[in-house]
Amino acid sequence: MRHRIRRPSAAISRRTLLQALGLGAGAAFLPSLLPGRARADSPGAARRIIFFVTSHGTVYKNWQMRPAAQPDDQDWEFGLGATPQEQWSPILAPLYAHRDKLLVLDGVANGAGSISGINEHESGHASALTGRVAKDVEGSLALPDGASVDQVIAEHLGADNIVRSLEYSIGGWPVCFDELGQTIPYEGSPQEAYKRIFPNGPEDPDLDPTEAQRIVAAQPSVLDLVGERYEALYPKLSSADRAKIEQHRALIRDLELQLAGLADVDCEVPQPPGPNPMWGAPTYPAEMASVFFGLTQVALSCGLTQVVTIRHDTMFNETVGAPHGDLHNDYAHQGSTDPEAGQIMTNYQVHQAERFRELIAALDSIPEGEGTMLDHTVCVWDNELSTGEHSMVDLPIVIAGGGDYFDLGRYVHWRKGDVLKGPWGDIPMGPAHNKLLTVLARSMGVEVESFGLDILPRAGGGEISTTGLLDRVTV
Amino acid sequence: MVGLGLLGDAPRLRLLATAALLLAGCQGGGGGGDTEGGSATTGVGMTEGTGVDTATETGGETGVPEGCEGQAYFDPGETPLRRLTHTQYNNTVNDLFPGVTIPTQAILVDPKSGGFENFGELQTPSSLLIGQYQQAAVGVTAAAMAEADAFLPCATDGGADPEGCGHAFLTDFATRAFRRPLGPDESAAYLGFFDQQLAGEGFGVALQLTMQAILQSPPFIYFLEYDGTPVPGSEELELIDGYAMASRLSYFLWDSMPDPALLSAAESGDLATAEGVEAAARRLLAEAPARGAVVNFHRQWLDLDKIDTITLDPATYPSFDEGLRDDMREEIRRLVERVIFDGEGTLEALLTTSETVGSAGIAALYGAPAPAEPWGTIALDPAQRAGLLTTPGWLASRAHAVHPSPVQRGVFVLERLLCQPPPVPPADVDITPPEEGGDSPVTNRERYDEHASNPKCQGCHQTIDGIGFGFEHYDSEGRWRDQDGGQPVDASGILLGSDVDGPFADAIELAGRLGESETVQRCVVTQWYRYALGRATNLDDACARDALDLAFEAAEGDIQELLVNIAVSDGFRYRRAQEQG
Repeated sequence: MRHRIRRPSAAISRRTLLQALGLGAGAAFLPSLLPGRARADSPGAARRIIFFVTSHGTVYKNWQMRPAAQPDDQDWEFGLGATPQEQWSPILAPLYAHRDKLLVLDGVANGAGSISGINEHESGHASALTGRVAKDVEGSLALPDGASVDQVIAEHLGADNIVRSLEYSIGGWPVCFDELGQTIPYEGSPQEAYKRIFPNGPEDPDLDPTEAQRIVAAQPSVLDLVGERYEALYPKLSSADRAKIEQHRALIRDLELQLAGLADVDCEVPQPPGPNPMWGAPTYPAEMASVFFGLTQVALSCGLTQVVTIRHDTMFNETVGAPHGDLHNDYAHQGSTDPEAGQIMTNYQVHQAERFRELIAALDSIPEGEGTMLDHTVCVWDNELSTGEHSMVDLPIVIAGGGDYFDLGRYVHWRKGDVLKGPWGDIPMGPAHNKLLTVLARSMGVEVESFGLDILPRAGGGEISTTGLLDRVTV
Repeated sequence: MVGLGLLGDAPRLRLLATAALLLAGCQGGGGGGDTEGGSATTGVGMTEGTGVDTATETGGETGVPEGCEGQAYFDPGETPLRRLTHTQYNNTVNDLFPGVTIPTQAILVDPKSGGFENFGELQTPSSLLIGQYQQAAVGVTAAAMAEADAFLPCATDGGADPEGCGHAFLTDFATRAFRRPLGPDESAAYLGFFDQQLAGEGFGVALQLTMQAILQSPPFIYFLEYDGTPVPGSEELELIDGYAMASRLSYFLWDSMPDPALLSAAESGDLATAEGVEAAARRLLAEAPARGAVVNFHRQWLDLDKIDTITLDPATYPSFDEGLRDDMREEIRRLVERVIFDGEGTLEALLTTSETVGSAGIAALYGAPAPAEPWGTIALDPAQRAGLLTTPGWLASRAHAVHPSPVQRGVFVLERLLCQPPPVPPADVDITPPEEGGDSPVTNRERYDEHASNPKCQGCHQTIDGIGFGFEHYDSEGRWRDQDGGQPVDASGILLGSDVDGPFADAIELAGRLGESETVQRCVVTQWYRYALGRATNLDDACARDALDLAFEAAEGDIQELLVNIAVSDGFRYRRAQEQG
């Protein structure tokens, strides 16, 4: 049952990783998450993808850029490299240093999320990465009726990865779903996340294995027995129960292969993360993000997986300079109308832009092939909503990296060329985000022509097609 | 406190906002708040007297509900495959190693339905969960082996006969872990694995690895109920087998594995009769683990976890800190335990009692003298306090940073006590809560004026705020107040959609009304029934629930009696016959 996993061969230096991982506040409580011989040399096109999904949309007026007073009612684009820093919007300004590797998308709409007729937060989460309409679930969060793009990509890459995909969370509702529309749970504990990808911790090959290490090494055998016990049960079960048990059994097989693969990984294992920062401390969100970014970077550079989703929602008032009150109810809902709320939510989004910068800077600091890891990694900053007032048109989307597939260094705007028939009224919209999801799937080699819904209802009758690729984004 | 799974910073608004529901004047969730997903027929349509049990027995002395006559059994409904909840997993691994303390293992909390974490339909496996089971098994056995003297029948190196000791211990361990005797194929598989590991790895490692396999195997993780007994005269039903019944009872009433006495009752066949089940249920309820299990139901039903998210303005509420937050949670736990196990035992008492168990911090919130002990009885002013709905923890977890939230308080009562969850607001209305600050002193009530004047809001908020305004005497920390914004507090309201409708003066009168309401009783019966079966209810369950309602009424709202009645009900003892394959 053991599979030797093929991995890249060249090593990168400890110094390079030190630089890469020494970034950000997280380094303070993750002092030694420093692989001595991590790898990052996969050649060719973008072969990794990271989804960084945040909450409450954006404050659009402080996110969008119109350096030449471009009109809203036309399609246009401009080069980010030639736009001086002072012309960058407050929310995007933190990304200025990486301007040549960015693609800012202004005007894409989550149409599927807009037509569900249920609470927009639930709808936005269920549709953001699926492009499908959320279905209300009695007493629980709404669910889509199919898989999210990260899972479709992970399924496509399948056997190439020791760990199919990683899902990390610093708070927030789920955005990742399997093909049945069931929630993919997140890992929220850095310590557990570390144990999952480095079950044996750092090992010294010169020492005899401890009893604990021998037990870890024998886990694939344990799982082999466990898997057989699940199979032995099949004939006794009804078809519905059997489906669940078969799913459980398949996941045990995956885990068995994963553990066997991890045991064979030729990658120096970093020290485990220390204790979490204090819950409620203003720096908590940034520190937690840093440690998950560190784990992401190590997992990718060691070749353990190619697909990572990081959900980030937890935020404290002090972090963004807000007085008392609930960030969601008291500020996000008024982000566009109330100046104080607008400033607080802008601070919030600037904070998240700084997190995204930290993630891409870390990847950009590791040489890979002719460039850096970032050049071969598509990083997508996405959101459950467009604005704190629950709009889902003009999604604030930034892509960084993956320059072999995406035409980077540009800001692209789409006009609202269609009118969606929404449950409560007409909604002018730009291209459906299904087209973006299609492009993202294809950037990772999934040959699809559409993603999620194929059509949306047009106001006044007829249909809006959501199939095909988003224009003007690829090379 | 890292947000795993569904807990986020955003609020959760529920239910489909359809025009139909809005027009229905917000009396959503008919039929006791059930999903109207079932077929219209009730019962399984068997001829009376053909079975070994009768509906009359099920209903106790209270008779058969109207419209349900002539049914030998009430439909037990669907039985989606369930497994241990995260709480049950941790309780069980501790009970498996008596005398050893096993640290809490990280196991996912399953998606909740109506607050409950144990619905089989939502308990789908995921790669994260499977990985957690694997890591937890390693963690549990490592902790156990550190104190192996406490449970091993031989020396920790296996002594003179490691194989014999291993086999004896593992057979006993697996029997307890699986909550039933091992089949021959199971013995061969696990003991064969042990022998193989013993040869290569030695006794201690081999024992741990085999226990780890047992702790990840289906009979441990899942509640397997395929060994039912056919019911004479029925092709549609089967009686849950004794061992599965022992697990049902034990995980319902103890949130952990059956004890040896319960497994003996399963073996002897005692659990095949309603009398045997009743005796077992009464015994379990009389022992300590039942207290934790019943409190755990209330944690979910009453959403006590929301206390974790209380955020109060420190300038307005300087006394609120993490210690007081913990005390708020603990007070409600102790109050529930005291009423149900040491007090009147009734739902009405839970909703109306003027005595609680609190700390000095809690007493201060009540304006009462600190109790003599760290946690002691506090006598409350019956003109100001009445049970659960006037506890600081409940009031503060349904409040904004400065001002209380009549909307959140009203929605809770509708959703969880009356089983009439209101729909979400239409998407085109501004649901921003009223300004927290502001220069002109206004009362909290006036902040919600829009609800009365905007026709889009009126329909639902007449019902929601009508209840919620009843709590205006309690600020965001749960303290009593006579003045609000410089005006005398007006806590009058109106209750709509129940059997005890009408205007009321304040929360005390409202609580008294809810305490004697049949609508509330029916709702609470439904909540317990759903929790006991780990599934949503639908119209197929109507007769079963009606029978429980009658029994609950006859027992004058005694909660322990309700649990016994659920345990002996058809829904708990039978399941629909399954096609295997």
